[in-house]
Amino acid sequence: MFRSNGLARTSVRFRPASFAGSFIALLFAATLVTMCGIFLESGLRAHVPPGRYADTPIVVAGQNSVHKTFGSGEDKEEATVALPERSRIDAGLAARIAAVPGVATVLPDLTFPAQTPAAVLDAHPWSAARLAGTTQVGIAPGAGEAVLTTDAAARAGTGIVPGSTLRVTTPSGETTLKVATVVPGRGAHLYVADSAAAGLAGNPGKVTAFGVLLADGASTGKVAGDLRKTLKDADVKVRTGDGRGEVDHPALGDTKVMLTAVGGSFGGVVAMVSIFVVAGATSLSVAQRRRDFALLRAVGATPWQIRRMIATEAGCVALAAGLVGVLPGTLLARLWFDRMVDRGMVEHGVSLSISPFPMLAAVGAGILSAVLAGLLAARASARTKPTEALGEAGVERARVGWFRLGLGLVALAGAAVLSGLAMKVSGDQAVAAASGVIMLFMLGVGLLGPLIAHLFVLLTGVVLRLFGAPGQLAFDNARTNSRRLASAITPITLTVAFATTLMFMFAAQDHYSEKQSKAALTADRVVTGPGFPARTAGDIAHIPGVDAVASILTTSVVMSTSDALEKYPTQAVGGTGGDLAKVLDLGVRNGDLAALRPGAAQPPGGAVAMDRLTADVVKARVGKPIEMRLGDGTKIKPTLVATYDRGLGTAAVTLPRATVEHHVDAAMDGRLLVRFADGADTAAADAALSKVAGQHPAAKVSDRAGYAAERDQARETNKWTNQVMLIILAGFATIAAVNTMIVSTAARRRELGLMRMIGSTHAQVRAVMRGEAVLVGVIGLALGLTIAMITLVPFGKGAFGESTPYIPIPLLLGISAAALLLAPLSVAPVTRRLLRIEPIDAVGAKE
Amino acid sequence: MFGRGKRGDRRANPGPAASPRPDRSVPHRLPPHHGEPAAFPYAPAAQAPAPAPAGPPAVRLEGVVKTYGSGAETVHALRGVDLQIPQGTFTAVMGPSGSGKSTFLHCAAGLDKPGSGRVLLGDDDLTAMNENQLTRLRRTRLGFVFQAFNLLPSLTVEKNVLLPLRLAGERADRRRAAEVLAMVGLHEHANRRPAQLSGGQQQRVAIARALVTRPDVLFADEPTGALDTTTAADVLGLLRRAVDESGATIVMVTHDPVAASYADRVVFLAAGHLAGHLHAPTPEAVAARMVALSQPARAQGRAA
Repeated sequence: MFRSNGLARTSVRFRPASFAGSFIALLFAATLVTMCGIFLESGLRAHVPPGRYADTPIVVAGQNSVHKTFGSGEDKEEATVALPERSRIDAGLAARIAAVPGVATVLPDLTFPAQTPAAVLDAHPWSAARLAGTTQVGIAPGAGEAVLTTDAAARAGTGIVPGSTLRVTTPSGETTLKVATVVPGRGAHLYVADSAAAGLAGNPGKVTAFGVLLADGASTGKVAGDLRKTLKDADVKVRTGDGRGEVDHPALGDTKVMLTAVGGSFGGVVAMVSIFVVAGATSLSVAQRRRDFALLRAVGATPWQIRRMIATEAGCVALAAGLVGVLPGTLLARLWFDRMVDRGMVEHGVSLSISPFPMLAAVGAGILSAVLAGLLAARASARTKPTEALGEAGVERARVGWFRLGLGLVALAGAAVLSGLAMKVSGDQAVAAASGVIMLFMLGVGLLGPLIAHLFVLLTGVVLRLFGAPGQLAFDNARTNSRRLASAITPITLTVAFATTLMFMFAAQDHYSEKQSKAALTADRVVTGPGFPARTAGDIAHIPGVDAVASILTTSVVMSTSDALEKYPTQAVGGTGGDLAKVLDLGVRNGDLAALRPGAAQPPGGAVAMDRLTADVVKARVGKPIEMRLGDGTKIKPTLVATYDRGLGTAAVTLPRATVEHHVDAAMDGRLLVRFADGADTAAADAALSKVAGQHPAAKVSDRAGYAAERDQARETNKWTNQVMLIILAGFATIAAVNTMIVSTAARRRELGLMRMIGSTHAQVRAVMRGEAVLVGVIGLALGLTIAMITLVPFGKGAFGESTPYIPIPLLLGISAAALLLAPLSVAPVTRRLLRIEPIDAVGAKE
Repeated sequence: MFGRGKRGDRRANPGPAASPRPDRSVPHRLPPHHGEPAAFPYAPAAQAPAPAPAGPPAVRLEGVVKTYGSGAETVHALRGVDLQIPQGTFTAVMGPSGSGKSTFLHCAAGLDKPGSGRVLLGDDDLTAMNENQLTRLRRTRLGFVFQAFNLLPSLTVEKNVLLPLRLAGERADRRRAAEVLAMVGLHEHANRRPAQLSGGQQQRVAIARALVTRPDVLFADEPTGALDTTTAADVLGLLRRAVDESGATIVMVTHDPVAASYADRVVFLAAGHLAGHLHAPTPEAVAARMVALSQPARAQGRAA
């Protein structure tokens, strides 16, 4: 039974063209799977070189991620999320570390931002320079002095030489430092006297890390082990090797998550789409060779032999396609990764890891899915009785098998149920459900394609019949060949559904966030910059004519939803008294923001306000405490004092500045919202404002419009990533659709020849083909849009609290035009080529 | 280009009815440019050698009934057919359109299952076999020639001929392929693809393919239906010689009285019933009987 009879190999070698469709589909699948695999592997393996700590064998630092276990028993799942800010540890641990045998020196390290007029530098205490191997003899900075690395000196501006002065803004305020000396060293670092560092950093009693230097002959591994034991209760991490790099690169965790997500979830979608496309191409090629299989059955091939032959053919094609697809996959991964690096999405020092594993996985997955698709496509051909097959070999079977029908109905029912469920939940859960809905719908459409196609043809045919004889003929063709039609409709539906859902989602996000932020902003002026220390807001408040100032410090907090840990964008508001609503109207729905005002009486544990949809997701109630972790991992349990509507245009969580300022890397405000008093001299106030802003690098004063332009960086990045994915997916599905149209049209040579023999003109033949293609486009578009709308409703409700999806008309028109033109445009050249063949030759053609 | 003047030769003969078996092997010769075809190397396993029309039946049909559809749309394709096909004979099955001749062939060949009744190939009951057993039977003990699409376009002529052996998992016996190809006069075209052959040549390859396993019975469904008359004569001559020289058993469905005249016996079907036999048929006699059968009232009378 398992002996090869070589039939599969022969048929692939004999007419490679009939496998071109499958080959192209599998080639693209292999390319994309390779790319996703490389991202996944890079995410899992991402590390950065130890950099500044290269000469420090052991580094003791805080945790850089938080964990939480959800569920219990079988469903137990550990969620981990990288902390958005650097965590700090108690400076007092130094003595305990020093007491461990083998430790020669313990060097406390602090990292804080120091803004010079030209650039933002990392500042550290001078003793920490030793960690990076900088020679220290005799050049220690005194009080009011700084030592810069050559790189730092170059970035801080021209003319920075020993002896010059440098105005520096740190989280605790502004100061002027004299440059003591410039030393060679890795990276742009600014060192201050040990005694001054803690004060400038603004976090007394805390350090970023301890560098541990070992006594001669002490083993790194042993000392690290001893340290871990000693510091078990201190919630710190003892790092050696490449792990040291993470301390200096806190965003590495985010990079890992991002790369893993792109590789994993996009990989999943790609795999799913590939299976549809490969299955479609395979079943098309099998359907076109029905007669061969019928003959084989008649002369004694068992159904199993037919199946094996088709599966082997598919496997051979998949192997070839996989091997070819690996290289472009690698190049594509590199290309995309480079663009990510350009956009600053990837932590500095992380590189792409390319190994054979993703490639093997891509080739293997391709073969597996092709073989499965082949077996599935062979089911009907193999089971057919030989006589039945010989008799009807020319005509298609429109009937959908019971198994397929059942599976398709289950998928559609599942999609409907899930969509109903998604209507009841909100926020991210609804978004997650939306992607499940779309997948199930696609599965249903893929399985029931011929049936749905038939139904739609009957519905739309009324219109087609108005176009005279060619229209009538196109309609009749479409009705009898609904399987062929379905194989062209499915990829178009897929593309339209995906493209519409994703593009509309982001369009809606932009739309609502712009709308909300416009509505929220009531300030007269917005001052933006890389960071203002707390007192800048105070300075502005003293400008005559200024009524109120609110400072906004942007960070994130981590909260747990029902089954995951999520980061939420957070604004910490400070400033001078008054009502926050004077400058920022969050659209309070419940409760009162008064407690967030600086100096206001707060409930025990502090106060927090949240976007109402976020509050729903994390199950927070007004008046009740809610547990969350600040950016550096500190656990707090403030009371929810208010919920508001305009979170999308501002931030999901609002906290008082005092709550977060010691738990972020840089306690500096990104934006200052200013409101002028009624009847104030705005020109004078503006001048004064500009003067204050001018003291900070890259600071800018603008009116309300400036605020809306300041989009959430994370969302922009996410949007870009999704758009890239969408382009790749849409491209893939488009190729599949074009491919199907071309392959199925080329097989109709005999039919077109016959049409011309009985007196159709070229124009009539072209009209028939165009009519059918337009029908394919219309049906694909209608189905795709329907699926997208069903998916967008729960999403809109979850993300924006709107149950009518937002429909951007230009986008809709663009997608529709593309979907409608795709099929006719891909059919036209094939038809033209077929029409060049003499009708008599075409009719005589061997099938 | 094939069988030049063959029809004339045949017509010129005194007629099959007048001079039965003995001279059969003579007139149906192959086109000259193929040279003298090799002798039929055909020897069915454990069977009496050659022309023995009265041997034990190769195929027996007992009360075979076949209906399609249900309710008011029921089509009674076969309404109880009893027939024996003796070994080493050439039987033609004829009947008007819709008389059930294709169904008869499919049931007799195990391509389709009768609703009731039995079909016996030698001593084996085909109706009791499952699809896999029938498939194995088809590739070892039966041969098929259809009206068209007999060959896989992807395989060479030789490989097409060896297909049943290959499917059976046997070693490709190239000598055997050469033998049967020589027999049909196509040994020079072993490495061509079907698309490079004429229709008549393709049918001859199909016959070679059907004979390669030395089947108990060869079933042919309108094998000359798509050929011009001269080419058709070649193909029919080949079938005739397979019976005469190698003792093959052939059952052929046809609607052409001339084709039927190559057979030892013609079996007539009408409306799913057997409607008589004709031994040593001439085209004229067959044609006359067909005309009679096309008039239902008279056909009914004769069918007894």
